[in-house]
Amino acid sequence: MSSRARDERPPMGVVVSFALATLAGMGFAASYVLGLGNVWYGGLLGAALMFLAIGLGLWSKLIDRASPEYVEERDVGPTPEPQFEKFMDALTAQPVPRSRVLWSMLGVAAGTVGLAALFPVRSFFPQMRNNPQRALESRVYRRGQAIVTEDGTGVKPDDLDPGGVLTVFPEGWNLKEAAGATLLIRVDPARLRLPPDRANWTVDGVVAYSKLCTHAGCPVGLYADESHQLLCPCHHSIFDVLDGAKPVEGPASHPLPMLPLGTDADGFLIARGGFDMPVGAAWWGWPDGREKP
Amino acid sequence: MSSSRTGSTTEHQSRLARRLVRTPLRDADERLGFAGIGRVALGKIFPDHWSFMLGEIALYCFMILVATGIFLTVFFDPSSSDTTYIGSYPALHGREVSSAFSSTVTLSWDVRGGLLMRQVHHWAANIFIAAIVLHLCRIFFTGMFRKPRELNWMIGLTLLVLAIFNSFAGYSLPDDLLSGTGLHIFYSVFEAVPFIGPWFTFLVFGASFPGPHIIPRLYALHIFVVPALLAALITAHMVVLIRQKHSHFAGPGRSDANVVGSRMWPAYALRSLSLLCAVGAVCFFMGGFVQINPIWTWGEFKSYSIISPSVADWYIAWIEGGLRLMPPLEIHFAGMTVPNQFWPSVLMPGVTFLVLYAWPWIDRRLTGDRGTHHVAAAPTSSPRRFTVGVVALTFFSVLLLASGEEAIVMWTGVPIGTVRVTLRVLALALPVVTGFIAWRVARGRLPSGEVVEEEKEQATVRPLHEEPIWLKARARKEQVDEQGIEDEQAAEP
Amino acid sequence: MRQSRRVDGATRSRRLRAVVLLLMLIAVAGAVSAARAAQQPVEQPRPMAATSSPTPGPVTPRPSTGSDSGPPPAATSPGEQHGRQVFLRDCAWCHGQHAQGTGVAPSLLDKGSAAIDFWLSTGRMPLKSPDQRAMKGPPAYSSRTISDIVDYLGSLGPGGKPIPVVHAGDEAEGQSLFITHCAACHNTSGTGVIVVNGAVAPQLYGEHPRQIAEAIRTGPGEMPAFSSHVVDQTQLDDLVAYASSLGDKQVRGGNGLDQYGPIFEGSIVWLIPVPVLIGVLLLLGQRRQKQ
Repeated sequence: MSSRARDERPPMGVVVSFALATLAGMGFAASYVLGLGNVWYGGLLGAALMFLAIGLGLWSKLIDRASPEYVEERDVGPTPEPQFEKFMDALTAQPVPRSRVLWSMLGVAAGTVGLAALFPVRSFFPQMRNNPQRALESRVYRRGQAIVTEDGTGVKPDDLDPGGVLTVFPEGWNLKEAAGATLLIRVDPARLRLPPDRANWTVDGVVAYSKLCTHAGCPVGLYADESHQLLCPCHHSIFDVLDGAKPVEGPASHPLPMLPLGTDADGFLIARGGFDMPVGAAWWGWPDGREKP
Repeated sequence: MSSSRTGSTTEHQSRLARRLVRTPLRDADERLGFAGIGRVALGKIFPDHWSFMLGEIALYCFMILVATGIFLTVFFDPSSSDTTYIGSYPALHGREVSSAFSSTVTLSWDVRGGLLMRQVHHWAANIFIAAIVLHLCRIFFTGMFRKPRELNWMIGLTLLVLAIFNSFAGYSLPDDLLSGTGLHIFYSVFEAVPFIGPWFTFLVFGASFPGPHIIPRLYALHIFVVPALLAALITAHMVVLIRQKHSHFAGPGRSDANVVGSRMWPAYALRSLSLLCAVGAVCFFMGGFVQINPIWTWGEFKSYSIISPSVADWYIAWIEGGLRLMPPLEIHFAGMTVPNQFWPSVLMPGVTFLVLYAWPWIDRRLTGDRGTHHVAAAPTSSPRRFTVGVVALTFFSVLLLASGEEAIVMWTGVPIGTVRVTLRVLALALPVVTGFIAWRVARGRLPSGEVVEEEKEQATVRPLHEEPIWLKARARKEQVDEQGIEDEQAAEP
Repeated sequence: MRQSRRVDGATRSRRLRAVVLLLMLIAVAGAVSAARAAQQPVEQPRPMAATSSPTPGPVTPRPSTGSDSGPPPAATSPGEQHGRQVFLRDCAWCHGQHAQGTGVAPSLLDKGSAAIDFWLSTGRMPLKSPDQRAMKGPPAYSSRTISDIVDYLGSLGPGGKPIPVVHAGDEAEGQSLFITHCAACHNTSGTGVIVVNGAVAPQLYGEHPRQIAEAIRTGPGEMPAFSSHVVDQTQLDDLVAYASSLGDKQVRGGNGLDQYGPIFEGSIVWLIPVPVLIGVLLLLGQRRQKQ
């Protein structure tokens, strides 16, 4: 009898755990009502669940101790051949017409309906007349288009300190579209190493490159002014600003597109054409090589 | 304690139990007649090994994700259209931002408990995928994708793919600077899909990047389509598991023809409930004490701005690591281009998952083992499989390391170029080294150094079906149970 | 076929209970403490190696005036006199007696007050030796002495930018500007990150408003400079207002993990919750094997 009494004594660990879980649960409710903040909510609800887990875990250990390991036969396996034949019989019990015309017409009809049901996918495209390939190939700027800042004001070369950098856009650009992002960087004109046909693409040492990395399209935002390098924070491609933004390190395989700069009558910067190649990452079907803007 | 008191307590308890438990169950049984199958279910055997519960962590994370996700859905506004943020985060007050971003900041700063739910949701997603990956590793190394479990292996892989996709979609919804950058990278990745790249990209985004469509589209996928698929496939995963029964590790009395362990009720049910609470506790502690993805601090997405470090969550970051380590290789032919990002972000994940899906059949070719298995193999029992697994894990670990390049540079002071070259070498060389070690270890552990590749004995699965399956199962279960009860009674002191 | 066994042991259960409790406590303590450790300011091994650059760019042209010969220029006011003394004692080693620059250090004649004040008051200067990297730290001089040195150098060569004045600004506008101009290197959270050639954009937690403004205007080291055309006075005020709010004020959901983003978060996933849950499995899912 004494052993039975001992068995009936509730396991203290489990009881205490459940009691603590209750307290923590009440605490969570209280903290929520009082608006104590994230740490309290998470801490108390976490604690409540933790004590529940401990209680249940200890309880399961008590049961483990009292119960044996069981074995169960496994009855999965191939159905014996006669049984399987009965199944096949059931499948073919009712005579199914063997007419080829019937079956092939069903195939044609079902296939057509299935294909037709795919047509709504067309609505996922913006406009069908707008070939994506052509949209991607855009050079962004028109000849003579003004270059403006985020808030739409024009930029003069002297607005930039030597070593200064500024993100600009074609005038009238929808800022939500990524392709327009352009970097103006002012460097020492004497140190630029541009090919001769681009010598006149800069104004007073101000160069303009597309801000979108030619590797995966991230904005190449990190300009190191002493090294004259642009670093893309996504995959760490590095471009040499003095040398036509050629990639010097990392996965990017071609330079940042360059914009030919000029000034209008009032001395504001304008584009003398589009970028020398499409902006952003290359795609399958990307036309290799630069074309004249 | 007197014996009479004990007796009356017992009687009282049994009356109470009758009223609370037996009566309603009996009522239900009169209508549904579930007692037979219920008895089978309560007696289902679960093997006693910790590694068989990894998948359960994932299951419970999924439950937490659904619960917290429902809370978030109520407050989140999946729209790219502009709105003026009015709320208690001072550094955004009065600014024009997208509704998606604004509502997420409001959720985090002004909805009581909203930040907790967001953070728990995010941590739980991370733990969800980690648990699936660990579960996959356990199945892989113990060879439990082999016949008859090929189907469940493939369902499990699909669950992993969907889980990764859905976590990425969720990460992209708040329209913050970090998630927008991630979407931009994916835009570029889609462009690199062979032949249909641009069309596929515009199909997904509906416009040049970013366009107004992507957030509503991801939202529909994230909160409905993918979770529904996940729930359906989890159910299928379970059904196949129940039908085939658990595998178990080798041991005395264990064979391909049985399964040894604890019964579902009460031993395993309590264990599993405890795990559910533990997973919940860990998620809520994390969500309460450790901040994750503070989107208000990253700021709203501006397509021309970026923050650094700009890295995806770890379950995507292995692809990012690949993108970083890939040398600048772009192939031009016939006016076409194979873009650099194609290799690490389209080809590599594609091949990885293709190999994983095909693995049960590749494994047959490698090991020559076509038999049915229900006893989990020791990881080193097949040197070839073990080596392939170790090589793959090493390779992906280096890629994951590469996604933390900037942290490595910060801590070591080594320039980024050196770190990258080192990681490139490691990505190629380290798998060779670990693979060699794995091969030697596994070969060394084969019995008596024999060149026995595999245990080739065929499984002794007895075809037992004379009656419909579930009747048969029930009959045998009754037999087992009666013996089990006898055994318990015999063991009573 | 049946294995029946009884695992005995009150000792085992006690031990088990203790371990479960301990593990759960570790889960909490670990989450808090490991994350707190991550919040320690990240060491910046190579911050802003600016003035030691051997190839001065357009920002730091070679001095056209001043030669190495002749006595160091005199100072007029007592403050400049004090600044001169300190300059000749600590700075002239590298920058030359006339502050005209030498092979190891650039001229200070055209740097301007803002730059001089920034380098001295953030403790990046003076260096112990010219090959040392400039690190942020406690300033070597009192603010009085720094302003004396600034005055003295200002009297030698005009030019450069004056110390900017900062007024109260709008934090919200500031964050928007910060995203446009600063976030690429410093992160909007101000946590800072690597740039190129071993340079680091430093963490901006708890910076002095004046120093932030000086850095914006002068672009120390690899940092580009922002002129008053790019960032006007109001915008400067707004930027400084936002930058001053960085750090703990931005943290709302527990430990901030340095606001470094997914790299730290992903590491934490594999360091804390996953090992804890595997520990739980080891306790829960395992029965002692039959001996």
